[in-house]
Amino acid sequence: MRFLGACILVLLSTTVGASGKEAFKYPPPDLGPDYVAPHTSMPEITHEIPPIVDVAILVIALTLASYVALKKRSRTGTWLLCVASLAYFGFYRQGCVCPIGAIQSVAEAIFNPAAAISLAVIVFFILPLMFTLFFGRTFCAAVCPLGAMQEVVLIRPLRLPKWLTCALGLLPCVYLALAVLFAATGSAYVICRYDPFIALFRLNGPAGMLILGASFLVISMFVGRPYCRFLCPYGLLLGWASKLSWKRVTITPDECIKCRLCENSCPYGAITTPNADTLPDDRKIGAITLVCMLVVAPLAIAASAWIMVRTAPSMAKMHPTVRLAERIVREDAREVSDTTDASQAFRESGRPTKELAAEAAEIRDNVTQGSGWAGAFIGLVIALRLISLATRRTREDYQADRASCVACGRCYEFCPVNPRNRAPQDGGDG
Amino acid sequence: MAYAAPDNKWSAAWRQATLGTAVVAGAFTLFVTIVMARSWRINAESNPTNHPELAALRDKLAVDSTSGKIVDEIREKDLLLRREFFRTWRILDTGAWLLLVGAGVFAGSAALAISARKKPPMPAAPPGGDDLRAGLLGRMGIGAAAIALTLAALAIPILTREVSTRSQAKGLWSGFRGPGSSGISPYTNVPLTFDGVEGVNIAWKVVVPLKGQSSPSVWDNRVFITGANKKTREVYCFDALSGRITWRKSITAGPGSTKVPKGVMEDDTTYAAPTPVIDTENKRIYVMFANGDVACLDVFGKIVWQVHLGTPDNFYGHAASPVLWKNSLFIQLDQGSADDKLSALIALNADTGKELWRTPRPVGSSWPTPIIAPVASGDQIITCANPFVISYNPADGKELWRVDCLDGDGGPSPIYAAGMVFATNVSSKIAAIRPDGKGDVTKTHVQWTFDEDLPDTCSPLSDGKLVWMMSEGEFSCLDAKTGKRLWHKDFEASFYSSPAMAGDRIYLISRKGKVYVVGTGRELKELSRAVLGEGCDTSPAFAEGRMYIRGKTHLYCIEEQGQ
Repeated sequence: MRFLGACILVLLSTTVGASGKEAFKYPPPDLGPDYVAPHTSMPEITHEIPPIVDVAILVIALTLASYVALKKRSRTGTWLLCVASLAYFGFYRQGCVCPIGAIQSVAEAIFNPAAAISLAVIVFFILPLMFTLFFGRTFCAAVCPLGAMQEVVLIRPLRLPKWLTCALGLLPCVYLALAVLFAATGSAYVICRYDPFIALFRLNGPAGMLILGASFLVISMFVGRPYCRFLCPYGLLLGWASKLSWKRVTITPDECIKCRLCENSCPYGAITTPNADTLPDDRKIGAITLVCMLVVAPLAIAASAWIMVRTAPSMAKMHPTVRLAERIVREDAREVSDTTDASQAFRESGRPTKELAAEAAEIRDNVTQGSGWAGAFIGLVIALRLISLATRRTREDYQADRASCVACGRCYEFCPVNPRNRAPQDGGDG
Repeated sequence: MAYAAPDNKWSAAWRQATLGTAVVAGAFTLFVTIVMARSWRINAESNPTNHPELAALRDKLAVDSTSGKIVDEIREKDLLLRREFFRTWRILDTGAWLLLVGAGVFAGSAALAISARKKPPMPAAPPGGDDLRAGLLGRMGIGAAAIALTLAALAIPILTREVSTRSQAKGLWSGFRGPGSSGISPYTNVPLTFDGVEGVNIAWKVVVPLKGQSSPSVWDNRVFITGANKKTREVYCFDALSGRITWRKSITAGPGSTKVPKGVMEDDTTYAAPTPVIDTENKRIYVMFANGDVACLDVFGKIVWQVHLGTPDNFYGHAASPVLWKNSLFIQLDQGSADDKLSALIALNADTGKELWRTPRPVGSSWPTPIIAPVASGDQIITCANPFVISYNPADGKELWRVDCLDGDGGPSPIYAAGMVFATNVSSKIAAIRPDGKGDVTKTHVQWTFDEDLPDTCSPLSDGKLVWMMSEGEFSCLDAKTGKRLWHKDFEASFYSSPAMAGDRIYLISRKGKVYVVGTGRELKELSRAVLGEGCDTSPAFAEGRMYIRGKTHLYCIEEQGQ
């Protein structure tokens, strides 16, 4: 079945991908001031898929994913849908629009009323969150093209140690904080700019991004969904939503018989084991640890905010206006002998340098202020994680962790209680 | 989940087939990757937008825009590069699809091969450990990540600083003749006239404790100069607002420092002729004296390091200022005669003062300060000394090219403007040199020469279109492209101070302290005259609204009254 899926993927990508190939823009040769470049014309847009089609396909895909994962409990169905989503949202639509990048549009629209945002982007941002609140992370399971890309190449998953997953698990919150900060201040859409898979979807891009994408794919062969687990900012939001979800994937459709067959089935480390027998009788150590973490929490928030404010001047350079203002200063100081397109355009506009400097100063102030809030957010997440790790909860059976389970359905195949697994055994097929 | 039974013949065949497919697909993917990597390299190298040969040709065209031959050369080269560029581009385009197919087949067949070998899960020993230990490990991981993120955040300001901040300039007058050693001020709002005797447009003037010909270097609210006599060498930091000395530091770099250099003209070159150079980003000041002492100080006057390079055997006294480039401090230590083989260009590590490299020079004593020329093919150090203009690679000190065009005792420093090096000396000529050659380019890369009214001490000045130079009172303006003299004027005075430009004005300061301000146009236009009030042999420094001039005994801050 996987082979069939791979074939579908390749066929779809080769047939539809070519039409969306990015045109290479090449500057005319510099042959001196007397040379007149010939007039070039812009080709007509040959096709454009209306956003409503994308939204409709997203709704269908989310519905199917939820149905297949929760109702049918079919790993094969989930995997096929995963491949189809990769083909459409990944290679055909070239990874855009996607809910992950939509975070930035929404953030910018919230903090900058003048920023335009399309309804489709809002829907793409909200729909997966809504589905997650009802059915768990089924978007991650079979709809997200980035997740699908990693899912299909996972060959031999390795189990990562607890300390490493906890450490890397902080990165999504840092990435989310920075992405919102840069988008809210109009600096950059970093999630889109540094999307490791976008260059692969488009079969084109800067060498650095292609290498980054290829590296992620190679890592994904041995580490389950490294981008989703250790970078994806939207995954963090979905994880929080999933904690509150009405229904979600369960390993067993019935009562867990604690056979332990599923224990190592999850490549994402999302299965929690029973701990009722291992909880210590003396809860004193746990209580002390918890108190310590509660004391550390405000310190972590304050320290994180302070560190981010310190880095704000450097982060402000992400904004094109700040970069231009700094460039103009360097050019005026004759520190550099050439000009950039932006600086040239600025000079031709006749706009006063002081006005540009004032605008840049205002942006720097905004970035500094935003950095403080972003730092506080990161500190808060760190504090909550520390508190969570110091808190004991009794677990009676094997469960899929609410936040980290991506509903891939691998564990179904190991559960003897699952009717799909029982049938062949009853038939004596082994 | 279908698990392969070990004794199943079909399963074994299936496994073998999928494994074989994975190996073939893997090899194919690797091959395509290698071909694409090679094509990518060629593609990057043949990009006409940043190709060094094309850039050099464009530089040529900028100098001589009428040359049809250069235009033809550019077109021919451009066409060749474009062909190669788009040929490799097509390979990359096709390769991307092949890579996708190869990688897809590899991943699919490898997954199938592995699943064909998969065995049913066998529960091992019951899960060990407890939540306490897991929580502890998790907290340790979060702690480690927090520390790593903190370090990364603190490193961001260092990593994102501009590369060139280590060099001179930054818009400040941080070394001899300011940004790019050009003598051109980034600030244009400086007074047109002033009077040091009557105090007109003089913000302050203060006595400099020890003599020196070093010019001021300015950073923020600090002005640095040096002074010395036979026994003492000092660095002064003046408060730019009040003129008072914030700190002064005596330099004695080693046992050899006490040796008095022979031949120093105490009232002419002095023992403190080299101008301090400032590393604004790292807050360091580098100074040198005629006895061979070189020192690095922080902004508070604390010595970071100091070295003694040996007592220079220079018959007027060492005068070349140190020059900063990235992490290297360059000293043009020319001494003795050419036959003595004592001269060298020395690069010191700016952080430690340790010698990075030393390149012997085939010249005798000289006095010009070297410059860093940002040539299209890479930065070059340009040096002048009888009889050569020599260019070196600042990274390793290897000679790039030389021109035999100088004669006599060389005082003027070279300049770099509009892609050309302009070098001159009183007994020879002024030469416009294209800096894209290799080896001896005397016959091939000298665009033009002019040999009348040449400077003895003053360095030339150029805005890229015109070149100005001051001889013994005779001030000339040449066309930068042709070398044709457009005008000249005899100011009937003697000059050591190099001309300096601020906006559309050129400031000329005579040895007696008379200041002449002329326009920068193709016609001579004298704009004003000013008086310093005492003799002056140094070059002015500029800051926002201000000009700093070191006279024989005072340091002047000149600023429009009311500002």
